[in-house]
Amino acid sequence: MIGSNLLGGSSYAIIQKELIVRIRRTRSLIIQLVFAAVVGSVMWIYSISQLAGSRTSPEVHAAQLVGIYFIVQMCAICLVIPLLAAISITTELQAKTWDPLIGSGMRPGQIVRGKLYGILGILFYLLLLPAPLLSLTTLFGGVSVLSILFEYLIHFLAATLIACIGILSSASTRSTVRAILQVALFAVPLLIIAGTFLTSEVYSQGILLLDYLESAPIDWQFWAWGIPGYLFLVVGSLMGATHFLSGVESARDVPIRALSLIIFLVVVGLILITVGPDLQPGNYNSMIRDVGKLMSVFVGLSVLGLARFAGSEARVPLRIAQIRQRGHWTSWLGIVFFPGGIRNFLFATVLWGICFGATVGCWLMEYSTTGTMLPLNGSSLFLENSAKFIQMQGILFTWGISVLATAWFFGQCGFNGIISAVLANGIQVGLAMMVATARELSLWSEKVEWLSPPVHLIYRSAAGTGAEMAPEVVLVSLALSTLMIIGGVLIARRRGIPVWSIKRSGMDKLYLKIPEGN
Amino acid sequence: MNESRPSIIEVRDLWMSFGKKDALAGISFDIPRGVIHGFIGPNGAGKTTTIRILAALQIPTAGGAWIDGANVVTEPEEVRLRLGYMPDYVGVYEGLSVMEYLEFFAMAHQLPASRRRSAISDVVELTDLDKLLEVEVHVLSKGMKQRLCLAQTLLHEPDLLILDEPASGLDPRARIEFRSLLTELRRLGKTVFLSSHILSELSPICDSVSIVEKGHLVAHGSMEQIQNRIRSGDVQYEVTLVEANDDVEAILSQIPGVSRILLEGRKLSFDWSEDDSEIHQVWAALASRKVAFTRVRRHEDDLENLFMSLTTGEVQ
Ligand SMILES: Nc1ncnc2c1ncn2[C@@H]1O[C@H](COP(=O)(O)OP(=O)(O)OP(=O)(O)O)[C@@H](O)[C@H]1O
Ligand SMILES: [Mg+2]
Repeated sequence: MIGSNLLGGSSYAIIQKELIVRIRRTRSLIIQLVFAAVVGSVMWIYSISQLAGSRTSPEVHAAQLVGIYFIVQMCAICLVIPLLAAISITTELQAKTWDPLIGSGMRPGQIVRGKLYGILGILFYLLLLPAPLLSLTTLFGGVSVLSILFEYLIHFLAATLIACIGILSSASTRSTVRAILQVALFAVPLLIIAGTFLTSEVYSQGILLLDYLESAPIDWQFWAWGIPGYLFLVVGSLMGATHFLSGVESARDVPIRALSLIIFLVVVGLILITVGPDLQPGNYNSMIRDVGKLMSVFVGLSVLGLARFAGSEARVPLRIAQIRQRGHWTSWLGIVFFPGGIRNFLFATVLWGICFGATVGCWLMEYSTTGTMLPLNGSSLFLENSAKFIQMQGILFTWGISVLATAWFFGQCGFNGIISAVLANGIQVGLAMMVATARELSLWSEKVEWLSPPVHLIYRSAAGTGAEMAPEVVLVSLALSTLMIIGGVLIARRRGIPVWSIKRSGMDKLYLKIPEGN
Repeated sequence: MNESRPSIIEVRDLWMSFGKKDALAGISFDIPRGVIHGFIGPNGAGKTTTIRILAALQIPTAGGAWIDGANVVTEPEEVRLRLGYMPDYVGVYEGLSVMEYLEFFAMAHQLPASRRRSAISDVVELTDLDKLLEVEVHVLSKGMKQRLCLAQTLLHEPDLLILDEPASGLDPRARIEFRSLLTELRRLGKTVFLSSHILSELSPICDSVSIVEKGHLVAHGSMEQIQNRIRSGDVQYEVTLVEANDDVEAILSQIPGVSRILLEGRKLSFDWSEDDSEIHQVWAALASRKVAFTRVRRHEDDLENLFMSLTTGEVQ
């Protein structure tokens, strides 16, 4: 998707246009001169003050100067890029130039990529102007070109991320002001955290980031999470922006679903690799304390997100119905990702199942190594803990399915994905509060707890002692799921929306080929 | 060009619902090649909606439309190749010159670099923009922007041009120039489909027209057919008498073909349903009773009246 046509003809047209339009303005020249002047004067003042005291060696001084240069540059990035990105799509919509663009055969994805490259091009232009100042610092020695290039690379990556998120905001809100606010919410904390870290830990020590990394290598786990995470944010934002700009009747959901599946596989894989060694079901009691927290956050968040898929629009988008009708082979390949009908629920359930498949896999692995040895120790602890673990997984898994089924039900009622997800999760929050209140008010009965499996799990595990989980909770969840699915099917019937077939009601009125005799 | 297919636009039962409101309620028509076709209707009739569907920018709720055989829903890319679309509001990028603007769209249309220059020089010559190539687009006058937008839609040499209210906001001279530009395009073999509120504005150049209201097609046909339809109706005459005369009503009611006689002081008006060549009977009857009149006006019961009679004028 993204890989193909990375710099294809049409995207290039956008890049060129963006560059011409922005760079030619006098305003842009003034911004650059001001930027260069600010960088220059800050460096100069610092330089004078330091040299007067001459407390530091020239090498350290040079590195500190370069550090200051990069801090100022980072502030500039965090100011300019959000602005450029936030207006990227909205200006086209407001100036009514969007229709001619699409009419010229450009696809939303090409426009989105063109905008990104255009913004990065402008950034390049802005950053290269004061770069000669940097060369002065090399007079002092002590700063390697490689370190400087690495610093530039990091800034470039940060700018790309901010730009992608800005374009996503611009495409989703379709309002410049809201988009700017959203990007600022992302960019300002990033600036504060990164700026504080860099000034206190790196530049003040007279070193640059690359030197810092060499002196204090970071855990490999950081990279294992950081690199996919970064790629996810960048690619996901661009895909999301394209998604928002394609009509609801397009096949826009298909790439998003495919990406989601990949993300799930990657994230679960990463969890197994990085925290896997701690994820020993046999170690159940300690697991629910440490790894368990991380897992619960991920599990909770993924239900939130998956409900969005489960509860999305019940009707099959027109484009999809047509692709299917034409019987193209891709329509068989893509069938798992096709939105509409019960596939919404099934797809979400499959993703949901990946998490549990992985944890059960962990248990199997542990069983195959430890399990057989334990009886030799004469301890049944492993089996006991394993049973608890499996029970907990079962409760969580079936609970998730019931949330997804509820979201699907709302989708069949005609709500869109986000509203259905909010409703389904809202019901869970309501149940949890009810159960907690009942407990506080001593209207307590064991059975009330079954209504909210997550609360049930929290109470049982918090007890930490022998408090047993109730297997009935699973039944309650399954009953709720069945109820929701039957209800959803009935409502879909009433609305004339197919549950399984990839057809579109009223499709007979939509001619796909010219009627005979025309 | 697909010469075997006689119609370049085919529209079948086009429906477009926005919530409960049907912006289009089953429109069907065919447009042959090489004509200028006017698409007329009051505000909110569904003209822009139809045009956006034809340009593959919007998906209809039901029904189908084909541009030169390509389905607007299933083959939007094909459709976009075959037509040039000019929206009702011309948006331009600030800071680009005319040349750069056209170059940008030539690239967007994926014209190979070798063809871009010649395509641009062709369209600027046609639209008389050749002296303005270095001017920035946002300083162009509205008429010039309109031309620029038209030039842009012509870059990829489409056979069909779909223009949404191209003449709105142009002064009379610019309108006339725009019309001659359209006739020039027809001469080059292009089909032009354009919308307007005003029928008479299009009548000098259109070969055929459709009239829409509230999402329904109320009239469709060649200019002659539409005009015949007018002729088949009554013609109204307005006569100014030299002095008020109450007998006139009695005199005229004797003559077959006269109806709806209205006398207000010296102003007389009546409807005439017989052939125009028989109207002399009326003048003769008046003259024989010594009713003198100074001025006769045959109400040009033309396109405007047809338009008024076909549409209710409710703004939606
Ligand atoms: N996106 C939309 N959402 C809701 N209603 C819409 C939308 N687009 C158009 N309509 C409605 O559809 C009807 C037809 O609109 P359309 O723009 O096609 O009319 P028009 O003939 O082009 O009018 P005008 O002459 O004013 O441009 C109008 O009543 C309008 O309110
Ligand atoms: Mg309109």
